[in-house]
Amino acid sequence: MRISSNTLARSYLAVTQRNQAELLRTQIQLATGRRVNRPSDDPGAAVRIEALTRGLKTHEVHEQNAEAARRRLSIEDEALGQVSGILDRMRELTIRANTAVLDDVSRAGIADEVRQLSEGLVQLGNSKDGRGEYLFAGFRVGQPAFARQGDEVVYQGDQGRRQLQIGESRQIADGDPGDKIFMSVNPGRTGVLVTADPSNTGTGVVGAYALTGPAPAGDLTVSFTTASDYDVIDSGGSIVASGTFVAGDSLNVAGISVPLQGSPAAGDEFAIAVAPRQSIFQIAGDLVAVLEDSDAGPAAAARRQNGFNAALNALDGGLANVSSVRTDVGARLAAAEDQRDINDGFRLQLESTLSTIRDVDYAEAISKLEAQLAGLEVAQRSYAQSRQLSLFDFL
Amino acid sequence: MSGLLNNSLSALLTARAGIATVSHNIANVNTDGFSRQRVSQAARQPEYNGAGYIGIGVSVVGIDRVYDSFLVEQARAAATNETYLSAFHDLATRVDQLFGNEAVGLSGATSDFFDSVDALARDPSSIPARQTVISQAQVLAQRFATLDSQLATTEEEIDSRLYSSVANINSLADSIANINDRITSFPGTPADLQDQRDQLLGKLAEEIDISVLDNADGTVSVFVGNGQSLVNGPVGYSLTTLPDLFDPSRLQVGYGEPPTQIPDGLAGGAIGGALEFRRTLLDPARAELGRIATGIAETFNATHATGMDLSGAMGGDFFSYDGPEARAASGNAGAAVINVAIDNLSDVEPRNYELAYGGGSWQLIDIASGSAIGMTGSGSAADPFLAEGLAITVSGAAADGDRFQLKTLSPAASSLKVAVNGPQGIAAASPMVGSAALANTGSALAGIVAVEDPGNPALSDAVNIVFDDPTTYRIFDSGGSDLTGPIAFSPGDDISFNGWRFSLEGQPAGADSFSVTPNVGGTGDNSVARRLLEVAREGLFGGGNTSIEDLQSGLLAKVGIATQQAEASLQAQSAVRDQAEMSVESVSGVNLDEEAVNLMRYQEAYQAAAKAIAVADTLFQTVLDAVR
Repeated sequence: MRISSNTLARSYLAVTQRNQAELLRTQIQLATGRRVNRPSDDPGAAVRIEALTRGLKTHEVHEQNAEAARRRLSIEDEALGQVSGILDRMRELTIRANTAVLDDVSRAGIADEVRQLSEGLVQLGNSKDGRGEYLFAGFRVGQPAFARQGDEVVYQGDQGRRQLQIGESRQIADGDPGDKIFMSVNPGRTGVLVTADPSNTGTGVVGAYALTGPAPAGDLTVSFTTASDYDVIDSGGSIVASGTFVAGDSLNVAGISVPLQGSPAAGDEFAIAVAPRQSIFQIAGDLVAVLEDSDAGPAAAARRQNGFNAALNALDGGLANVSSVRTDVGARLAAAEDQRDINDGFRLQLESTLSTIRDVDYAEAISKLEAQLAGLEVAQRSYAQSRQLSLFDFL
Repeated sequence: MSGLLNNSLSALLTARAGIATVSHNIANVNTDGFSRQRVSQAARQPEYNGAGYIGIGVSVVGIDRVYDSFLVEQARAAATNETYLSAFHDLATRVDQLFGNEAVGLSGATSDFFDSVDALARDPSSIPARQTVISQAQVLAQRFATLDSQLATTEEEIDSRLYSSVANINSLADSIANINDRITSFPGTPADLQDQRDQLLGKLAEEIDISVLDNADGTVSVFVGNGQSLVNGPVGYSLTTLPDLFDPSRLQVGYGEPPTQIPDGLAGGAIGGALEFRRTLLDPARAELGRIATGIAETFNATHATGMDLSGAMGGDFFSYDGPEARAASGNAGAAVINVAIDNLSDVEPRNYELAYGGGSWQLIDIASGSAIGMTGSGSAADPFLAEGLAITVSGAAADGDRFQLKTLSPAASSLKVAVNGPQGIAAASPMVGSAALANTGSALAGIVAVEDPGNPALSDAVNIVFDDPTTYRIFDSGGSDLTGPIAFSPGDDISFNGWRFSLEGQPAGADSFSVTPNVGGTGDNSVARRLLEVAREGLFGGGNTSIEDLQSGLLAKVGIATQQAEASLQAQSAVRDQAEMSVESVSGVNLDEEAVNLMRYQEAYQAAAKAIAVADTLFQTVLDAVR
C-alpha cells in the first residue's frame, strides 16, 4: 500500500485519540472509585445497581420500622409488667384483708391503698410511647385511652392495631388496644362466674367452683326458696331445675360444682354468668367496696368473704389476661429483634453485591491505566522518530 | 543541430513542468482534499528522414490528479454514516449522563418519596413526617419536571442543530453550484477545482446522505432525501427548516416553494442522526417518563381517595397532572375535534400516535415505528375508539387528509404537581374502623377496614356484623335491622359491604359480633399509608407484571443500551471512515519522499537537457571554427 505523508500523522492521531478516550474512562473510574459511571458503561449493571440501591434504602426503612416497633413494644412490655405488679399487689392485699382478725380500720387502710393502685392502673393505661402517643388507645393515639366518668373508667380508644413493615414480607403490630387488656378480664374461674348476691341474708360462701360438664348456654340464677331448697332460673325468668342443698356439700347446677360453705337463707340468690367480662378498674372498685363494707354480723362477714373470693378470682383473671398479652408482645419483640439480625445479614449481602457490580477493581484499573499510558508513550515515540525520516534531509 | 536544440528545449520545458508540479504537490502537502498531480509526458511524433524516424523530443500531454472516484465515494458514504452515528451518540450521551446522574436521576427521588411514606406509616399522626412526605413528593414532581425540561432542552438543541445544518447544506450547495459554473467556463477540467468540489461534497455528506451524479460537461448534480435536487449543474437549491405539522415548537426539514416537510426521507449525516435520535430515543423517553409520572400519580390518587386525612375528611387527589392531548395538524381542513383519555392505564404504551382520516375512516399510527395500530369502537362518545389503553372520541366532521397527533403521556411529566392540601391533608387513615365485641368467644380480632369504593353513599354508615354460627354472618344497621340476611363465611374471608372490605384475623365463633364504624380520632391509623406503598410497588403496567420501579429501570436500560450501541457503532464506523479516507489518501495523498525522488528525477532531466544544449553549442562552435 502506498503511504502518503499525512497517512502517518492521521493514523497516529486516530490511534492516540482512541487511546486517550480509553485512558479518560479509566481515569474517571479511578477518580470516582466506580466501574459504572453512566448507564451506557454497562446498562445491565446500571439497572442492577439501581435496584440494589433501592433495596438498600427500603431495607433501611424496614430497619427503622423494626427499631420503632421494638421501642414501642418495649415500652408496652414495661407498662404491662407494672400492671402485673399492681395486680399482684392487689392480690396480696386481698389475701391480707381476707382474715377475720383484721378490723374495719385496717381494711379501710387497705382500701385506700387499693384505690391508689387503681389510680395507678389508669395512669398505666394512659401510658405514652416515646413520641407522645397514647400507647393503649388503638388508632386514637391523640387522646387518653382511659378516662374516669363518675365512678367508672371508660375506654376511649378503638381496636386499631398498627402494622409496621419490618422485612420484605414481615409485618408486626406495634401495640395492642387497651380494651382487650384492661376492659376485658374474665373475672370468674374456668369461663363462668358464680357470685353470691350481696343482699343475701344467709352465710353461704362460694368456694372454688369448677366445671364438671359443658358450660351452660346462658346465665342462670340459683334462688333458695327455703334454707335448703332452691330453683335454677334462666335469664327469661323460668325455672329450669330445682334441687335440695345439703349443708357442707357442693351445689351441683348445670354442669358446675359450687362448694358452698355456711348456710344460705330463704331468698338468697347465687348468680352464674357465662363468659362474663369485667374491667380491671371495676374489679378494683368492687374490691374497695368490699373492703369498706364495715357492717357487722355473720351475713356481712359472708358477704365480705364472697367479695374477697370473687376479687381473688377476678385478679387472677386480670393477671392471666395481662400475661397472655405480654407473651404476645414478647414474641413480637423477639420477631423485631430477629428481623434486625436477618436485615443486617441481608444488608451486608446487598452491599457486597452492589460493591462487586458498581465499584472498580483498583488493581485491575491501575494496571490497565499503566498499560494505556505505556501504549500512548510508545505511539508518541515511534511517531516522533518516524517523522524524522525525510529524503529532503539528504538533498 | 536545431533538432538537438529543440529536443533539449522540449526536455527542459517538460522537466520544468515536472518540477513545478512536484513543487505544487509539496506546497499542498497539508491542504485538505488535495489530490497529488502528475505530469503525463510523451515523446513527440518523430520525423521520418528516409532512414527511419528521428525523435523530436518530449512534450507534456497533461497534468492530472491521481484520483479514484470509487474510493472517494466510499469515503463519502463512510463519512455520512459516521457523522450520523456521531450526532446520535452525542445527543444520546447527553441523555445518558442525565439519567446516570444520581442528583437529577429519577430513581433516588422515587425511592426517597416511597421511603417517606413508609416513615409516615410508622408515625401517621406526626406532622413532621407528613411534611416530609409532601416535601419528598414535591422533590419528585420537581425531578420529573427537571428531567423533562432537560429532555426538552435536548430537543431545542436538535432544532438548532437542524437549523445550522440546513444553513450549512445550503451554503455548500451554493458553493458546489458555483464551482460547477466555473468548471464549465474553463477549457479542460482544472484538477484543483475538482478537488475543491470533492471536498465540499465531502462536507455535504457529513450533514446529510447525498447521491452525486457526474454530468458529461464535468459538473455534478446532487440529490438528497427521496430525490430532492440540491445541486443541478450551475444551479443550487435550498432546504428550509419549518415548524412541525403538529407541534410548532419543534423544527422539521422542508423543501420546495412553498416549503413542505420532507416525509421521513432524510437519513444519514448530522441531520439524520439528530432526527433519528429524536424519533427513536428522545420521544419514547419523554413518553416513558410521562408514563411513570402518570403511574405514580394515578396509583397514589386512587388509593389516597380511599383514605381519611387528619381533619377527618376523605382524601382527594394526591397529585395533579395534565392528561393526554390531541394536536391537530396545522393544515387540517375539517372541523373534527379529537378527545383522548386514558381508558386502562396498565395497557398504555409509552408512544405518541398519529390519527389520520382518509377514505371515510380513521387510522391510528405509532409515530416511532410507523406501523398502524388496530382500534375497536366507532369513535363516538358512547362507543369511543379503543386502542392500547386509550379511549379516543371524535366530534365534528373531518376532511380527507386531516391528521392529529396524540401525545398520550408526555404532558404528565412536566405538569406533575402535589395537589394534597398541606400536611393535614394526607390521608393515611382509613375512614372506617372495625372492632370486635369484648364478649366475643372466638379468636377473631378486628383487622383493617379498607375502602374500595370511596363514592359509595352508604360508606360511612355504622354497621354490626353478627355471626349466627362460625360460618354464617349477617349485617345489621345501627337500628338493628338485618341488611343482608345470612352470608356464608369461611376463615380468611374478608367481609365486603358498603364499599369497604373488613378483614378478620382469626376465627370467629357463633354469636360473636363485630362492628364497622366511622373512624373518629383515629390519627394513629396507618392502613392507607401502607396501602399507598403496596400499590406503588405492585405491578401496574404490562398486564400487571411491571411496577413503576421496573419502568424506571427499563427506561434507564433503554437509554444506556441505546447509548452503548451508538458508541460501539460509532467506534466501528470511525474505523471504517478512517480506513476509507486512508485509502483515498493512499491513492491521492502526497508523499514527500516520493516528491523528493521526482524532484531529483526532473532535476536530473533538466540538468541533462541543459548539458545537451551545451553540447549543441559546442557542436555549433566546432562548425563555426571549421569554416573560419
